[in-house]
Amino acid sequence: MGQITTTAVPGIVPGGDGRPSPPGRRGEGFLRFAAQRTARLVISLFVLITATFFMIQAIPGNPAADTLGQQATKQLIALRSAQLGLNKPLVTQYWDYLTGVVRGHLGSSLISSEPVSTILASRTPPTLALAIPAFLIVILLSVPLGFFMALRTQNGRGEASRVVFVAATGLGNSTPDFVWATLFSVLFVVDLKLFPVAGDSGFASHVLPVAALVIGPTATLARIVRVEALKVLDSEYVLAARGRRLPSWLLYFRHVLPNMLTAALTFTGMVFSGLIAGTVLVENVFAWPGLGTEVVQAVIDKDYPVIQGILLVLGTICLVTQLLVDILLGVLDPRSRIRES
Amino acid sequence: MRDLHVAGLTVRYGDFVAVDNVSFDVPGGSVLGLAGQSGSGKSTVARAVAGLTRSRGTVLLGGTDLRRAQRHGGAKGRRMVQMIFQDPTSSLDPRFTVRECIVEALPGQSRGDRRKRDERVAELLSVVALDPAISGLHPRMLSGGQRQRVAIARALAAEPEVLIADEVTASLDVSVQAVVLNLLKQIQRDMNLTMLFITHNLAVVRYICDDLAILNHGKVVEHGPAGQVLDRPHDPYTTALVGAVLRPGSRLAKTGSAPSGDAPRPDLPSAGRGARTQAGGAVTAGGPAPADRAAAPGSSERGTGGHLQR
Amino acid sequence: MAAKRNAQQNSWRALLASPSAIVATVLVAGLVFLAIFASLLWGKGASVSNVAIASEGPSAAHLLGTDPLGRDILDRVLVATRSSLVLAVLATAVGGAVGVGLGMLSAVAGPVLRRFLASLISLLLSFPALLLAIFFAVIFGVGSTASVIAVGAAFAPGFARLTQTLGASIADREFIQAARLLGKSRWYVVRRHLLPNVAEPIVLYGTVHVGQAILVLSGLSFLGLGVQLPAYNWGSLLEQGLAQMFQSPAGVIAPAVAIAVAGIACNLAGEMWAEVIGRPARSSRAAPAGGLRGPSGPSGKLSPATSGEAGGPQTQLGSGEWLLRVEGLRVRFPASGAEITPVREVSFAIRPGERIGIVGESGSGKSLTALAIAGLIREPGHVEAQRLEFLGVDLLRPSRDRSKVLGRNLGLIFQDPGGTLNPAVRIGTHLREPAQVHLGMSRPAARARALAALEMVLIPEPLRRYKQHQHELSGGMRQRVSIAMGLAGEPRLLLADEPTTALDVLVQRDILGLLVRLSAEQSTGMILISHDLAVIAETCDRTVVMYAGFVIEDAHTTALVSAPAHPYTAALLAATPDIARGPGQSLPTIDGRVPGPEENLPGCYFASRCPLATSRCREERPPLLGLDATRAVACWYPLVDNGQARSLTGASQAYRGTERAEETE
Repeated sequence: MGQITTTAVPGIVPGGDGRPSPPGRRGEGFLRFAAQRTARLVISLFVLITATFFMIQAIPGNPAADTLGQQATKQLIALRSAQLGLNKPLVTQYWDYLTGVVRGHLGSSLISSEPVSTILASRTPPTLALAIPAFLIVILLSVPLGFFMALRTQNGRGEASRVVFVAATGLGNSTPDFVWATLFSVLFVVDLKLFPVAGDSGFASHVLPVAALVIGPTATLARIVRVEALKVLDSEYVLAARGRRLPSWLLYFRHVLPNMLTAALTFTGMVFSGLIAGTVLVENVFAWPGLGTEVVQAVIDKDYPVIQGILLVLGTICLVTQLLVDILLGVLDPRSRIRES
Repeated sequence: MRDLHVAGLTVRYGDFVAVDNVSFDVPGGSVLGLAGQSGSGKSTVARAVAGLTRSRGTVLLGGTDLRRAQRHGGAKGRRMVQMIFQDPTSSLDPRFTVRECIVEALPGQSRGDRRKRDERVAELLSVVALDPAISGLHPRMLSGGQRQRVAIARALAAEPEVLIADEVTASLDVSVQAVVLNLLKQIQRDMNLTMLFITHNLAVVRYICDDLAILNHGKVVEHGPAGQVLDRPHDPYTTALVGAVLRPGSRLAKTGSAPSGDAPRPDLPSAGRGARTQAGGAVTAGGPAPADRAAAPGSSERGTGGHLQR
Repeated sequence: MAAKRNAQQNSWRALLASPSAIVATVLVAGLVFLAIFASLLWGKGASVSNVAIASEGPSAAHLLGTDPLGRDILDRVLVATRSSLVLAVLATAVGGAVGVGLGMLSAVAGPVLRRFLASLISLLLSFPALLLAIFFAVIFGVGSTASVIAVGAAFAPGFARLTQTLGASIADREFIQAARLLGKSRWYVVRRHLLPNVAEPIVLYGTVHVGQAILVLSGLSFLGLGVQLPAYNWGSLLEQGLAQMFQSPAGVIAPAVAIAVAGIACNLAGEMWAEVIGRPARSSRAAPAGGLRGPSGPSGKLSPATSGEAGGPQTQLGSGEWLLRVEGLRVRFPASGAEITPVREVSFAIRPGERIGIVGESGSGKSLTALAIAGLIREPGHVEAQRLEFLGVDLLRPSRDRSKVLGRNLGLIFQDPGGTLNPAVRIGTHLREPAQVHLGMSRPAARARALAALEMVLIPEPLRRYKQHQHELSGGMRQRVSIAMGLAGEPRLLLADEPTTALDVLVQRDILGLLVRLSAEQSTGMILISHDLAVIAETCDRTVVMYAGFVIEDAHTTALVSAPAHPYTAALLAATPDIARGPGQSLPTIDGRVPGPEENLPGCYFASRCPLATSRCREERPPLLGLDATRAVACWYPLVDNGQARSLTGASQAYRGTERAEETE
């Protein structure tokens, strides 16, 4: 699903040495920068926790009654209210919730009474087992593809290639991941009977879900990489380097690649977040035992503690990814540290 | 026209002092040049006088508090000082036609009926030597010189008392520059406007300005009649600046010098003059004194420099 | 007004011819048609259940088969168009309204509020839209209305961020300040200046996001969190179809294809629109495509010069060994049908150790001449010449010798030193490279040479600077590094294009002095390109004046400055500001403008602006001819004749009103 919207990303001018520097560069305020970013993460997590808390509070009507359905008696509703802590003053509720989350006590499912933390523990790894391989494949495919397309189409050359590329990537990123997933299902499972239809049962069962996940982001990222690479190829410093008659491989490796990579790096955070969202959908196609199927069921069942827990986990994954990308950028491009503070 | 009096003008951005206790007077109907290198604060002074930047100090126009008029005097107070900016591309709204740009600037009473407005627009365009037919065009269809002239027309439309020209010719070609400079000069004379002329190019100062103030790091280091400041500067920074101006009739001494940032420089308030240049490329500090700019030893051209252009 | 409309009409017309535009238009039109009429045409088949024919495969009556309740699948998919589209448009509108509102608020708000909003928006943007939608779905519940609100809320941060960024970039522009100077209220400025300028990109973003909204809403419905029975859209149809996947695959494929097609249509439409918006800006600049680089200094108008004929006699300034020989150089670019020729005919030559300056205003072709010499003009640009030789090596045809001689012996210095140095690469690496690559030095040896070069350009603490990156250096320092890079090989010629234009006047003097000294010490030749005659006059032995892609005068600097031969040179000299020029002395101007690179004139290109022009000038182009052994000019009536100089005004007076006799040269 095309979650990656290419909104105007604040122009981080690429930087960093050709050779990757060891992290924790001496001086240059790097530690200060890392500390700042971590502080920002903590604040964001705090906001996330608060948001999940108020999510329940904001529900119009009586949440306790909603969870019990039409047949609930008054006593049951009162019981459930107590269970959800809804009869206590707001501040107390909030404090309990906050301390609970920090200590890992996330309550229990209203349906199965299973502790939420157990549910999360069992459901998160399968989701990551889809997201992480998908992410790596996206990067490994889109970056070289985008770069080679840029080389082919610079200066208005390679018009045919450009058209094909734009068409292919257009098709790729206009079609959401769950559509690919369902199409693959029909094609490979029903018709060709090549892959298992559902569930996590070894390597073969990973293939289709991951394939469905990678198409859209690869298309989007390949386009972005190509655009960024063209910008670098068009830049004055590359022109100057050409003027110095450097051999092509040196030109590309030392002068083009580092700048292009840092520019593309800013988008990888978005890619990963998009993949997380994608897993929610794709899991539901393949009945994958991950967070995606769990959260959908929880929303339908109005199992609030589980919903909160899952949103917390997914949200935290997104925020932590953002932090890692920022820090990596900070290592590679000293100027981005100053700019974003 | 009323006199402009500025005293103790200071502009701070956090800890950084961009304009440091600047004072000057501009007699009504005369032109004061504010010159200096980038970062000297000259543009900031202009913006402070125009009321675009917060500042401290005194700014009086004919005895009345100008900044109060700008803040609380409504549109009328605001219009007393108008400014022409450096970049002709971004000083006009790309979505406005030339006519709309100028009409926007007309004071309320002139708005009245459409015919009167159009007449005034045509009038202003002819003052800046532009064909009134261009009033329907958008800025992107005009050349840089034409856009600057539209900007001047717009500034005049507001009927200001004080006109500030901020590096108005910096992004123009030499031949176009001449047109705009001549125009400004003529308009200023005809309308008896009080003008602040901001520039980093000392070569145009004498032509346009009556008086000249040199700024360095936010302070006025020299101030006086333009000819006097240029011919007989007192301050070492001014001397260096004037000496650095290139002229078609002179020849540069064949010596380099150490980067000004690291060697003692006359442009820093406490530094003294550097050593003189020597033939054969010895390292010097500071810039060469004006007298060194005559014939470079060992040059291959016939005769020495010194022929003045026409 | 008319001109603008024409420009837009042309761009629409050109655009609509492209295949992607046609596809987009057809698809979007189809979708809109379905949204309006599908329920009328196929509503019955879509809603009437007939359990007798439940879950059948494709047949003549039901092209894609039937669903578990016996309803025609194809009919249902077509009818679902309305729901899918309408909800998506609504969601985008909600998101747009909220987001743009927030963004505008942040643009006019005080600094504290602005920072808060910016942080909030950044935070929200860390999460994917679907997660935000689920969050809101929990609050608002499931169903059509709720999902519209949820998706709208999920899109709002994106709109807000875009509006914020656009607003910030506009707020910096001077026309906003000009409006403030007119006493306009903040609200007026937002309404009349800010909004119209950000409207187009925002609407474009919105259009693309309708496509996104279709996808997200379908996703929500697919999960069961969107529209609820009996309403249906593509997403819920897909979910239902998936449950029946084995019995009738068509039930999955049809909605899937519908979603994909809608997504593609919206994306294509968005791209098409983006093209149109981009076009008017491009057409008014008429810059040649590809390979054009050329910081040509300040420009009155960006008008590259037009083409002319090749050939013509060469100027020979005496015999001897030549460093660089340029004869009949021409550079042309194809440009939307026609062809433009920014460099029409350039000839000059340099001896070893000589310093020449090329002066010209924008449109003269001086920067492109430099690029042509340096071999930096790439396709689709064409470089032609009768002769283009550097140290005897032909520069016209790519060859190993050419790369070698250009890499080793030519030092290039550009205008913007910040641009020339790669921000990702250390200074030291920049300096080492030429020696390692072209001189085959080892790394330590190259390093030593690099440090020596840094010392030669008088950079203090060279060791420290060696390890730094370009953003840690000042402008003047960077330019010194550029010069050092130029010296890093075995430079026989330095080619400097506006090396000091971006620098302060004190630094300018330093850098120019450095260039002159180094060229003298190392006996390297120098070509200094500038729009500023004063810069060239003070530093170069010889001056070449370029106009409209031609060399129009070539003479020793002192002679040129004291007695220019070409009327343009005289006018340029007269218009050049001089610190000694007092208020009483007039500043002559040159009326008219330079012919553009697309024009093709038979005669002299300066004739339209020249006070001395005759019919001969307009019909027959004067070639560059030697006036004497040291001077050449391209003019039928040069101001210097037989050693006698005339002033421009004097000469024009002499010619006024009299029959202009043919003058032989």
